[in-house]
Amino acid sequence: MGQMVLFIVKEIEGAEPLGALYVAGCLAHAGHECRFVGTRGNRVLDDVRRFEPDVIAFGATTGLHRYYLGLNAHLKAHYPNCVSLMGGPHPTYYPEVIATPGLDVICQGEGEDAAVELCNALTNGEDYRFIPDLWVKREGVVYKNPARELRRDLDSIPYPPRELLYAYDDALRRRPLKSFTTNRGCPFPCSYCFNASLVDHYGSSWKKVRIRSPENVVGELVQVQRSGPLQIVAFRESIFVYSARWLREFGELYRREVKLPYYCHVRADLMTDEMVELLAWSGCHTVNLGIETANPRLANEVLRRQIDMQKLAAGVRRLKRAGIVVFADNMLGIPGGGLEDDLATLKLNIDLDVDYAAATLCTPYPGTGIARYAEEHGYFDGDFDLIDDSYYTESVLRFGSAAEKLQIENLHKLFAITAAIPALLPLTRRLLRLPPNDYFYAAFRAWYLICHMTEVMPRRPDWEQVKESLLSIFGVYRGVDENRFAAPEPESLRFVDNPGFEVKASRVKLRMQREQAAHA
Amino acid sequence: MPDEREDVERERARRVVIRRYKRRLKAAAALVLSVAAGTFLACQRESDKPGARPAPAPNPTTPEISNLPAAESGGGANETNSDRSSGGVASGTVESGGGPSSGAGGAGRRNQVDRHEHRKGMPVRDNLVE
Repeated sequence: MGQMVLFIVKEIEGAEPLGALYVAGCLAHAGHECRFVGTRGNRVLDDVRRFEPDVIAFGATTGLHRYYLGLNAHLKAHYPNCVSLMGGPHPTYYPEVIATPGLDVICQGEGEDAAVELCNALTNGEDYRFIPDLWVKREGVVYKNPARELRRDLDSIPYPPRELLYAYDDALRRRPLKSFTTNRGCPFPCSYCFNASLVDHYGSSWKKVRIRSPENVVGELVQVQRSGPLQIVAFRESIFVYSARWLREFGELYRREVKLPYYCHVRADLMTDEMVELLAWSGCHTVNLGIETANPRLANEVLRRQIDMQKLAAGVRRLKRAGIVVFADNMLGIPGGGLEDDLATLKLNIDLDVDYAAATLCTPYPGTGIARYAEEHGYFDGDFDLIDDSYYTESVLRFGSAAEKLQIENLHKLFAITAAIPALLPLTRRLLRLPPNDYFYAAFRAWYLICHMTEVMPRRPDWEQVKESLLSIFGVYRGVDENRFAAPEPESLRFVDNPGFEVKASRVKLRMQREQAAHA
Repeated sequence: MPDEREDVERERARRVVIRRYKRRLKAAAALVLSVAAGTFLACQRESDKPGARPAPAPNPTTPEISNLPAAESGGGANETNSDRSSGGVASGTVESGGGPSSGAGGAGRRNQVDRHEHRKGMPVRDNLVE
């Protein structure tokens, strides 16, 4: 009998937690039982009492990690024998988070194979201190392990078991929009992106994109279509398509078997005429792409996007001419930039007539190039605990003045709606000087929701979901989150490398040593 | 064939223009909604509570203003995890009319105002719509 693993997901009502679902699928395939629970309107301690899990698991992004560490400490105080496991971007960037009391294991990287090995070892009573990708805390000592080789054949990974989410709340099955991925990895070195930390962990093999076959992707889509309503498909990988040949094969199957509009991420400068035509032909309704900034120096020296701004603009125009909805990502408050740069970015979005001009506040996540740049140039003091779990609130960076910081944060709230109604620009410039207020947040959220539901990811209304979305503009949510607890302070621990391996051992060395061990 | 191509392009261009004007109308509706929502939330705030108004985030460049979130702000922009340590309902939470909840597990999850989450703009990047 395998382990019982309870996955705790703070915003289970949002996009499916695909990383955790993939891990759960592999665990289930290996004979372990998995369950998912949310936190809004739900007391997680009651779930732990009911299900008596052997392992509690969280997937944390930086900022959100504090929430999970606090909740974990609360759960472990009641159930100290549960093994707590944290995966996701935060421990991948910052494995030292394991020094937090109550946290037993962190997983860097993809997690499927490491989680299976961990649960198998727990089931068999074996030593689990030396599993690649994991850092394990036992009796005041942290055992650090190197990265394992990446799985190259993504088709061999079981489909994410979404029924585990629906078992928690059937409303999740009825959501008309569902998420999928078609590939893993990214060749670009953008300094603000978590991909850089995965290159640090896995080496350059992370840059070699691994792609699922079109048959495998469409097979999953068909299966999900049969299990519940599906009106629009969201592809969530860093860059949806690199090859026109793959897109053509995918498009043939997709048009025949699925026949739904889809949303995906692209790089604007990769959008040739052929690629854009194939996207439109295959059913692409909306693309999400990064404009980020209008300033080429910031784009290439600070954000390290390796992008030609003219090609970017040409790509956006091609997509618009093809009738594809363009959802543009933009980043405000970039270190080394200022308010005028951000206003120039807004104007660029207006000129390119993007359908939704999203904006986030530049956040120096640990392990990213932008964090190092910000620290080296005095824009950030390196305290990652200041980072909120949302990059839609305030910036943790230093600016020329408190007034400039305030104006950039206010511009962030009014960015999208001003891009939608360009005549507002002179008024917006005046409003920037006001203190932050609920009107700005409401404007941000109202336009986001309306634009997404009717334009970016349009769907036939499920009136219950429409009502919930509208109520959220007024701050009214289905239940409050009663699982907020203070995260404990990290403790002082001894860190040791996996004996026989250095933490930064090359993959070749790891493979050679495995072969030697197998021959021995 | 070139004529067909031109027809397709003309049709696409027409749709893009229509979409632009519809977008402006919808954004205007969003503005109206946000004024109503902002007013509702402003009325929800307990005016005599210290720190009830959203505090401007401090700028780390001026030495007299700390970069650390203000510990006494309640439900404001600078709230930290330690401010939410009670384990109880988030600050600024008021029960609204207790609307119906949907879903198999929704029995106990009535609608409530959660100003803490609203102040996030969206509840992290995984939100109700995406």
